Amino acid sequence: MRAEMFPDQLSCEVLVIGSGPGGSVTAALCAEAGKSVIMIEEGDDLPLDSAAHFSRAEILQKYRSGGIGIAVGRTKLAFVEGRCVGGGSEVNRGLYHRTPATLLDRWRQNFSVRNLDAETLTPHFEACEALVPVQYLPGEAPLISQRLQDGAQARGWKAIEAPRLFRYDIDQKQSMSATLVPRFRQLGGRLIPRMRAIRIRRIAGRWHVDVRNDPTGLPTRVGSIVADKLFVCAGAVQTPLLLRRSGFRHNIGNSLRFHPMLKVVAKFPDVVNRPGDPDPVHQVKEFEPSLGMGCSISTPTMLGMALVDHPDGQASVDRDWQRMGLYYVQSTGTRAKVRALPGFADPLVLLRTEASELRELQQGLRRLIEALFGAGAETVFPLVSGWPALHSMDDLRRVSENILPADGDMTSVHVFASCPMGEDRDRCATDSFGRVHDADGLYINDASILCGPTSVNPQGTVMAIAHRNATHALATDFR
Amino acid sequence: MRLSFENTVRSMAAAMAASAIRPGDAQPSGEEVAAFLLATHARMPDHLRLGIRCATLLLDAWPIPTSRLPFHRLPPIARDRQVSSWQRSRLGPIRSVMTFYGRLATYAVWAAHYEQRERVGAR
Repeated sequence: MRAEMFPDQLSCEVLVIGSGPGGSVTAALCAEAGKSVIMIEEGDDLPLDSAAHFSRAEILQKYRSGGIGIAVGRTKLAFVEGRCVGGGSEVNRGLYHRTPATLLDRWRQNFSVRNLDAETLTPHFEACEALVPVQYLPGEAPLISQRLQDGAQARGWKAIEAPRLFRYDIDQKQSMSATLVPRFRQLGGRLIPRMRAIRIRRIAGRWHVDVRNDPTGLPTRVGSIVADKLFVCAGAVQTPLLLRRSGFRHNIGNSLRFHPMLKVVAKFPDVVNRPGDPDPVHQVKEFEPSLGMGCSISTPTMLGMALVDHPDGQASVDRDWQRMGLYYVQSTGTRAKVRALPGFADPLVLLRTEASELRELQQGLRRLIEALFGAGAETVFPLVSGWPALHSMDDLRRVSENILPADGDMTSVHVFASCPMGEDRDRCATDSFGRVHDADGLYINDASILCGPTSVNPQGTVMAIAHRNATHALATDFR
Repeated sequence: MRLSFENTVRSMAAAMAASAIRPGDAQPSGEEVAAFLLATHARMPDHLRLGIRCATLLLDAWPIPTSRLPFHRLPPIARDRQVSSWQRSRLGPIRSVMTFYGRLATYAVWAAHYEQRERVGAR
């Protein structure tokens, strides 16, 4: 089908590519400052309740590539990204943390990031939290969550209850589509969904972004949007893909990081997982920044899917799912490169994993299992190739430490740091405030510019850094 | 004797839906599983999509030398036996393709069952 041209060439002062947490914060701030702002989003504009959470429909509607993302290398890692208005904030659980102070200090020192520490970032966290409410679960946490805390406390490990970007008073997740996107529109901003940026170019002092609509059910249309200033906020994989395709390659897409994760299913003697229970909220913090542990959504579908390599366990899910929970351990290891493939629209993500990183994750798995037995689990099913169902700590001790995670074992729901910010030009893609080095008026303002894994759920960090950087750009008139 | 990607996926989905460990009294629909597999394939990263399509067509051609029929036209018993054989194959790429389809089929079977139960208020 021949593509049609857009009837109008769109022009604005500020163009934001991507409507996830970084893009939505950026767009709303620029609109509030009185700029003419267009925000484009490759995915569809869907209400929060367009599909049940973690349902087949949600995966097909709101996840990039139908939920299929694979980083390839000697070991593979499966990852997911959001692809809809609001981005990852629409499909994550909204667990919220401010960035650990020691991590900000490390980024400042190792990447020469100016004016980055807990004190200077606090006003930006506060500003974001005023617009996107964060609440602790009122009342008791679900038993499935409490079990993790029980097991950690039995070992003298620090465990906390994490708040969420959620309003429990109205039972609504505070995703971008529920908060900052409506605010952006009220401030006069224009959001164009189902619009993909193909290439960016600098022509006569302005940024020209070639765009194409998502043609599903519609004629294919192409055109361009012209802007004085351009913020690329398409996520840690898509941002470097677009920039590299457009000829921007210096420290772009070379340092993608994840929170690689391994999971287990624990079965308890008693009911811990009841229909209608709120989301689990406990996390073990004892081993951060290297390792974190928590509880995943444990619906019967997720449990049945998880136990595909444990047929006995899987066969018991329908009868016993209320005594089961899905738990994870995550690390900060592995790194990857994002590369465009000639002739293909989607990038290749090339993973590099050191044996020491796999061992660290395996050790974390052992600690998680230890905590779950300490919490009274009668069986733990590790979702790792070669690991049998375990019924006791003696069973765990008999598992060889040489069985490391293999293909299909590691997953990640967090991706970041592919275009780090800072004044160290040997390592960084942008300056300390997200402006691409040697590119006038071009910014990155999403998880790409973080200097490494956050160790904690990253959305709070992404939003605060985006707020900091957009505020700085506006205050300095984009100089 | 034309090969067919879509019909191969449908046949594989039927075989996997029939053999999967299913929740409770679930009666998985091969067509419903196939619809999810095809919808997911249509959205995959394009370089992976091409690889899976090529591998799937290769599997469709696989039984022709012995059965004179592509996989998607085999009788159900022969089809189920072929899927089981591929799942145990000594060839890593074959097992990988079957793992890919198997995991998606498992998810589709379980999700369909519990989403249906939620719709009728069984929970």
